[in-house]
Amino acid sequence: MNIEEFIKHLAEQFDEINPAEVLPVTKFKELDGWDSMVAISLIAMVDAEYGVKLTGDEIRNAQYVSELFEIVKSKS
Amino acid sequence: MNPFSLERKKILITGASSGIGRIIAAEASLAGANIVICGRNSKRLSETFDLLHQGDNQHHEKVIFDLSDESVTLEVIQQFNDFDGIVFAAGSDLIQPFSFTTSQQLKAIMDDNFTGQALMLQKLIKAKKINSGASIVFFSSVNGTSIGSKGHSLYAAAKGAINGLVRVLANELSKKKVRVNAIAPGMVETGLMKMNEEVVSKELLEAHRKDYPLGFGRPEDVAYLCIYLLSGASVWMTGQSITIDGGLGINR
Repeated sequence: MNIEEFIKHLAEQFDEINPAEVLPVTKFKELDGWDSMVAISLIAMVDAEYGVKLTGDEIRNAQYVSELFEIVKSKS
Repeated sequence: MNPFSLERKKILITGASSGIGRIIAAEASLAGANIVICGRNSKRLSETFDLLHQGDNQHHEKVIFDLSDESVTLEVIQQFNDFDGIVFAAGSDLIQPFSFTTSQQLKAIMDDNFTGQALMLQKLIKAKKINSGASIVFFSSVNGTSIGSKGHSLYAAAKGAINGLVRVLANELSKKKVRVNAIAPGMVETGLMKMNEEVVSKELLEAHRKDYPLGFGRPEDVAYLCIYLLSGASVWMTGQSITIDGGLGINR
């Protein structure tokens, strides 16, 4: 898995985010439209795309897109 | 006689190997009932069996089987004697946005929360295993009854199906004075809540707790309503989905 593809999937969980605006150093919880629904969408997306069970606490403790990517990568 | 007593009543409880079903079994045995518990997990079902109060003249049984296996259900039902009460407490949840739904998930959640129970009751009725004056209790939820929490679409849909079934069956079975009701609880501290906690994080769940003027419920809090519905005290109550939610619904 590569981070570009991960960012594309992540951006899809937001209503109106251009994937090009999202970088590995982006704080994903500061993106427009971030809420609990996007959080469970991320969990469902990671399960569907990568077969990885991400937990609510892992999302809560992560800040940057790259951190989230590394968690998913390490569990896949 | 105490109108809330369950003495000499024979009561079938599905989903008794954990959560609310387990505590209902224990409380109903304390109220004097003869209990038949069923569930999928043999070890956990035995743990529930050990919790049952064993008074003089009380006789309890346990049956291990999976409600979703129709042919097994039919076989098991033939061995049963008639019941004065039936509680369908089995259930499962899935937290994800509706847009990710697969047909397998839809089927699994409907099977666990609706189809298995509906078909089991159909067979019990057909085989005439339900006594006149019996009480049937389903588990609905505030989800699918009065609210729709994000991420719980399939669960809420299955609970909505329960609510519809309860209304029609209450009418159809009224000739035999059989009552059919559903309990619609808010968040109760069980294994299902633990699953919620893993997905939505402890923090969010704690924030949600504040929406409940009386906090989250304990399985006992719900079990006592179930005892009332199983007892002769509720002979005039039928076709209802009764909300029990620690005040969640009036907290606006």
